[in-house]
Amino acid sequence: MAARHVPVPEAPAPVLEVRNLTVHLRAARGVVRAVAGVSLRVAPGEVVGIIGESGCGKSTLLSAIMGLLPPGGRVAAGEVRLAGWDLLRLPERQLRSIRGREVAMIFQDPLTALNPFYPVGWQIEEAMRVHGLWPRRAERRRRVLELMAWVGIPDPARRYHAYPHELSGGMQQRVMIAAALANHPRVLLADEPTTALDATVQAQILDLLERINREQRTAIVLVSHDLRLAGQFCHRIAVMYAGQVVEEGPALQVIESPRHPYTQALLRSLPPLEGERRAALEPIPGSPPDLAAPPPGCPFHPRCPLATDLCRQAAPTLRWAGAVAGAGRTGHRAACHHLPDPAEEAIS
Amino acid sequence: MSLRRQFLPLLGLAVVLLYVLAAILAPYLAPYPPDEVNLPMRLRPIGTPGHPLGTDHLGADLLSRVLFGARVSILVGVLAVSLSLAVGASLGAVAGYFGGWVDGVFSRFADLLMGFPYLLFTLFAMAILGPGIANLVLALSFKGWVEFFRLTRGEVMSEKTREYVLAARALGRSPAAIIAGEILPNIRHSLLVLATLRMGYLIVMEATLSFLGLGVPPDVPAWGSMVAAGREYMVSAWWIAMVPGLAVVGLVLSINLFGEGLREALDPRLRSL
Repeated sequence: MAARHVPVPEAPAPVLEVRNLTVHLRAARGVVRAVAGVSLRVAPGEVVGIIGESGCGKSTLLSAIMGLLPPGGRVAAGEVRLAGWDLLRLPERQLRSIRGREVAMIFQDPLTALNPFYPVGWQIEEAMRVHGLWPRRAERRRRVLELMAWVGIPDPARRYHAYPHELSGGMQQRVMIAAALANHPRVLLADEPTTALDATVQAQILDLLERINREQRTAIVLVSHDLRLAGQFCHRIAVMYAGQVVEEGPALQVIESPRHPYTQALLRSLPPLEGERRAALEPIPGSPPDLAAPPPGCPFHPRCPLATDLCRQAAPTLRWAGAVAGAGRTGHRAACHHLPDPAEEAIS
Repeated sequence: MSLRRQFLPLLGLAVVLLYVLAAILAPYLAPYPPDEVNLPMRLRPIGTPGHPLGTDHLGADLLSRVLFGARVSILVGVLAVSLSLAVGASLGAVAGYFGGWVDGVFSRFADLLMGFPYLLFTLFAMAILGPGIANLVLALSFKGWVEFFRLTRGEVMSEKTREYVLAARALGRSPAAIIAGEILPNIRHSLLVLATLRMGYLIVMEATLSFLGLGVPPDVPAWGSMVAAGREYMVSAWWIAMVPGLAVVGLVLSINLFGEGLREALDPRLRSL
């Protein structure tokens, strides 16, 4: 018992902190609560994965952090803090000076995210020019070429003048990443950055992101639907369902001993790994809830094998779900009524 | 489809260039001053030695007058299209990008103008402003910007939803920079095609106004007023009205042939323009 009171080392001040964020989107069927009370802390240099099926609110969460919600989107409650700035209360002009400089974003499909009219080098240079950190043109040009080489674009001087459609998907994504890194942001938001790419290219882009994190100490928030990929790549993972974080914790713990039935189901729905004793993929029965009319109680209960009357009535909150009681607060938490009591588990 | 493989549009372009050249070089090409009265030589038919296109009721050389008339038509056409494009594209981009009440105000105003027949509207404007090339340009642009406004607004609204705009915002670019630097370059083809096709229309409008005596001042040779002058002699000296009339038809037809070829070559999606 005493072990439970081992002091937790003070966590470093987060570079990005989302507190209790709720986002409403206006849809044809009424107002949808796309993000419902999400909290998230990203420490400097940390890689955090946000995992969930499409429509779970993970991309909306990123847009809300950037202050770039689509028309009809509105932050109903909560707070987003980036290195001391209260982003949701900043005037647009000031927000613009932060976007691309302190926090940058890369997208799923680099071809649509690059402007077809301009050469790619010009677009990276433009990202630098916007914030005026390198006012001298020759210096800027030199930095662009360096950056292009650094993100793995061969022959930068020639590629500088290439148009987006002349490059392969992997090269396009490297250009996008170079533009995002142009001003050394503290945080890089990556919205499914490898989903549109071939498997081999995916691995290269992930290697690049890892190198950015390691060498530039850029914190990365990776949004993905691929729990296993995130498990290899991230320090921490937050699993989202129906606009809420249902489980979060150190990546390895979440992957190896998932506590929430949804996370467990998500892992079983992936193809089995070699040596894993499991017949085949098990799809999750049912479909994600209609966020315009979310079910009462736990949002996962209609699809959950463990659902009881309690689940149908009361929404669970995130609770400590450390795999081993007494190992200190690893930060592994899950929102489920059926978590085993860590104390009991330790005794048994 | 490339413009290179199309015969008619290239022919159109060639003819338009000839007209432009003729307009620029009119003082050197014209055998006579356009307003030189020579009563003994009046009403000479096409093919008269010294007057290849004949003379009018005052004995002025029709070739010289048609050459100088090209200056009015082309100048008014180019300036009116440029002004309409500048005003329409700017307002349309702002309305399309920001939406909301800004869009509401501009769009209702544009709808209101669309309700008036172009000729009637421009006639009233010219009646108030009085004749003159600058006034023609103004009067034609009063309503001419609406077409460019509607096109730009629609194109910006659809471009705005593309991810490169979101990416530009994520990099911290301002709305003005995004409209002018990111979106407009990507819709330039649509604007160019519309500008070309509107040019022909505005030249016909200018000729119509000049025909009705509301265009350029009487001492400036314009194709419309030349047709009007020849109207009384249609039976005895048909060439006086026919020569400037054919000049209008040739120019407008060539512009439209070129414009349609441009549309096919740049973006067949624009066929509804």
